[in-house]
Amino acid sequence: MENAQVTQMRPVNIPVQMVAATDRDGRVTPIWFRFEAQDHHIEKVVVEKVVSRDESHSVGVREKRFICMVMDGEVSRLLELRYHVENQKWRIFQFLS
Amino acid sequence: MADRTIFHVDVNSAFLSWSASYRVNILGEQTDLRLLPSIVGGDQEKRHGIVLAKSTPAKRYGIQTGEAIVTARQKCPDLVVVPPDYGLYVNASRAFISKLKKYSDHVIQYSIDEAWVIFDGFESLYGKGQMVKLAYDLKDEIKEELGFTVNIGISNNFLLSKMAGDFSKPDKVHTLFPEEIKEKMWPLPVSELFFVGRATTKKLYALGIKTIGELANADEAMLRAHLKSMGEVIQGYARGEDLQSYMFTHDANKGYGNSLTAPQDIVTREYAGHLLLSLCETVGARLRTDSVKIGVVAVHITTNEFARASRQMQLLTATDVTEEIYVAACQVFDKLWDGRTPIRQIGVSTSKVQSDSGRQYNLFDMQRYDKLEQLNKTVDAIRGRFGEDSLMRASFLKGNVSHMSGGLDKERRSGVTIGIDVEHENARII
Repeated sequence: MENAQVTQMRPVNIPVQMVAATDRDGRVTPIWFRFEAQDHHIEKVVVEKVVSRDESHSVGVREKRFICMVMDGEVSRLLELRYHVENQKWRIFQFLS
Repeated sequence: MADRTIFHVDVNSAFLSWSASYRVNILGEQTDLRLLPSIVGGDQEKRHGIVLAKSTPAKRYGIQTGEAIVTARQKCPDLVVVPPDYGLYVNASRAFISKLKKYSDHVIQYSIDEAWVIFDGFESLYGKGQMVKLAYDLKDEIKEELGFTVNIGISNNFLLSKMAGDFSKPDKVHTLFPEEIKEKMWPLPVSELFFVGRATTKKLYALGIKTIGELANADEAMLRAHLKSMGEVIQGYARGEDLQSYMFTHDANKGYGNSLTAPQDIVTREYAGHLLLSLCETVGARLRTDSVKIGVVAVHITTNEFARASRQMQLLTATDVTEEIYVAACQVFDKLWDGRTPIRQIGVSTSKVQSDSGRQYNLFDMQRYDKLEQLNKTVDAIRGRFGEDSLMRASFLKGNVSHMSGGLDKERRSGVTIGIDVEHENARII
């Protein structure tokens, strides 16, 4: 993910293809995802750990938010993923480190 | 009935606030539109270029809701204009009303961004002071969890609570109980009173009535002489009397209509007919969705000089068949239009709504519209499964006229916004 943007923690809203697991209580956990990086190659990223979860209902839009730790080669990075419940789309909201 | 507290809850600059909140909270944008002079504006290309909502900073430039975007830009060259997102607004409205329903089971929605919340019998449980605190809690909960601000007016009737909500904005709670009318409501200019518009204000000024207090204390006979029964009604409001329940009857739609602003002025009968068909298609679909039939078809037009005219006709049999409505609309239109004056806006409205009762055959039914009833229903079913655009009349294949015109975004035509024909720029209780 060397080419991924880290412009001072600005939201990027990159759509991703996500594989996630749902447990018996309906709790969703992102597992790994793919997205198109800057130079148009497809990057696969594994979610090592979900650090925190949040849900919001701003302006009637239901979203689940996940702060996740991922490995970028040797370095671990934090990013925020958001899941739009109604249209079932996942996106990278922003990179946090 | 006496022990009743009513909240009137109103979203501040709804469309603007919702778009702003979406950008900040969902998209993560840095700039909050509510802090800049900004407006939500209709599509200038399609000649819908008017101000639908404005931010508080925009108010200071004298920008008004309903004026053309061009003039708004003249007042404020740095004005930020964002397009409307009706899908978002309908969702936000739903979330808003759900929040209100958490506090009371009796919520009456008045428009996409306003509702009354009725608390029956709470006062004896909690007392007035607690009701005010409840209002603050509600206001703050909406701000915190939904991300936009509201105004709440508190009283024991609908009118006073609505008036209270308008006192000062944004993000405030105001009370206007009957004992506070003299102090809080009477000093206000009479144009602030519910139901008093520009024309009535003019008439009242001519009678020397400038404030709501003066209206309340005016001579009844004189008022009735000049303003008839309307005068009596508004005087009642000035004195704190309540709105009549007919003001809220949205349950059975009294009529179904759709209108549009033509992308180019209508100068040919053919183009007019085309647009009428498209409007009738939408009206017909809505009637059939609600399982009702109508007995009167009306057409209204606005010319390029903004003169308005309308005409209607009664049908022999109530119907929900698009073709039948279209034929009637054309008949009415031909009597209405002089054939020359360019038309800017055209609308079809229907009334005399009856619930789906069988068809009464009559001797003059040359066209066998009864057969078309089944065809129309089949068309609805196909459109329901495969989308509205899956089936359209051949005459719409070429050209740029949508085959079903009028109303909101296709995705969101769902009944939340009863009577708000936003494309037509006015709130209309249809």
